[in-house]
Amino acid sequence: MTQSIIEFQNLSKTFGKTKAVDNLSLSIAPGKIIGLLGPNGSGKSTLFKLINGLLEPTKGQVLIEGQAPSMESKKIISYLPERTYLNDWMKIRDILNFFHDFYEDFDLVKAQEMLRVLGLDERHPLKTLSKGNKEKVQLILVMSRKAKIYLLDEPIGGVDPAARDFILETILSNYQEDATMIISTHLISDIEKVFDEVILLQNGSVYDYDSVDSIREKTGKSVDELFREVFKC
Amino acid sequence: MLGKLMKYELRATARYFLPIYGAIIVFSMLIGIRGVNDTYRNALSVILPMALGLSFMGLGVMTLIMVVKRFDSNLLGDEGYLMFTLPVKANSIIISKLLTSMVWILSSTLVFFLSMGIITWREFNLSEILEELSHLQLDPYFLVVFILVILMSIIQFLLQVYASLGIAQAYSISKNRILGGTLIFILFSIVINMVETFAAAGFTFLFADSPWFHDLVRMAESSDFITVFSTIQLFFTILLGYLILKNILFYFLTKYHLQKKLNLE
Repeated sequence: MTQSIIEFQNLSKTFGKTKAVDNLSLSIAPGKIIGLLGPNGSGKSTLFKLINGLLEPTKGQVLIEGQAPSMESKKIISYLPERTYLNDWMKIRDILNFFHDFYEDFDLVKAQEMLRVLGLDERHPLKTLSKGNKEKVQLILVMSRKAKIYLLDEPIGGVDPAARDFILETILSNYQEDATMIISTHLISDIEKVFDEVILLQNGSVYDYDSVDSIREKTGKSVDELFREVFKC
Repeated sequence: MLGKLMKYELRATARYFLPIYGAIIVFSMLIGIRGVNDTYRNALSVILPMALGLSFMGLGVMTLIMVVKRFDSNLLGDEGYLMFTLPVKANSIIISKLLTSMVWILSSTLVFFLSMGIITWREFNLSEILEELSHLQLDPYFLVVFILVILMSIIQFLLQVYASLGIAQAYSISKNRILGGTLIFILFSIVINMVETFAAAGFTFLFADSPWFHDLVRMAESSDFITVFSTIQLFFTILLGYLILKNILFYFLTKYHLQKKLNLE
């Protein structure tokens, strides 16, 4: 068995009385594209924050290549949060240089090329970009890194179907075979075809973790159909 | 990495400070060379000092806003998702904010003296003043302690702001982080004030009868300048130690709440 790249050991995170992540244990092998699926409030974003060290676990631990989140893990994780983190004083060019300054694995030329394809001018201030373009710029920044782990939190949540295609294409064409990618989404049917495995989250625990093929075999349903059945309101 | 963080921190703030510095220097120069032409002297002798005064007020208010906003929105708001996933230490992040604020506070002080110099250059001879100052025989030890006390006092203010904001976000004191931070800041100030008052009272109570304390009082009341001076020097050294202690406390409070209690929305 290959060593796991991300491991959760009895991981719990509570906010007041709410259990966002509840005694979750899971081991993720490298080199896969994994869908992190679950209804709103099932703990997807909390799990990402825990992997990034943006939150401290209440109990248990997260291990990245066997180590707790640290400066070393931040070097190998490329994270697209749900929020827009672009500031209001830089131009697109400045944020490219910012990434180039801080991340050794950032490919400046690749990012510039992707911006050109999109028709985005590097001299454009971040402040006046449309919401959709901000999300695209962030995705370009994240996918221009040659990281070992990509964590994408709702990458296609807020954009129109045409932009969705661009984003999926960008993700897939920049994904390296040996990297691990976890994509959280509730728009499963749009993206199901790219997943190797899926993690189904329910109330902060794992409902199921299996390969897409095996789920289809086991249940005779697509992941989207299974999701609708399991999480029926 | 600290250097890179500071580079961006300075750039993010320079666009606010430099224009005000420019305005202050221009107003000061206009006041300084005023009087050349008597025909518009009266109107300008009101307008220019007023403009200069407002610029300084603006500079003061803006410095305070910058100290709070750069910490709050860059670290505790959505930009925090970027800042806290950079491969840099929490120490570097806090110190970059601290040093950048220090740079602006010190350069604002410099601009103030520069402005005063420009306004009064006709009245005062700078080289004469410097000449006079060089005759003042200041004890170098005292001078160093005095400067350190001023620097540590500024740092204490900054770190108290940072710790307050950090605590306010960690425990969601209020929906508005700056309001919550202000409340914590006031609470800190009250507690520190109380502790200091009690410590001073307790100190007097405990040592009131000791010969050492009597010596100290006698020294402070002495008419001999050297003796009084050495008492003041002792007082400043103790003050410096106390300020450093407070700064260490506030620094670790800030670091703890950013590292272990971070709770970005």
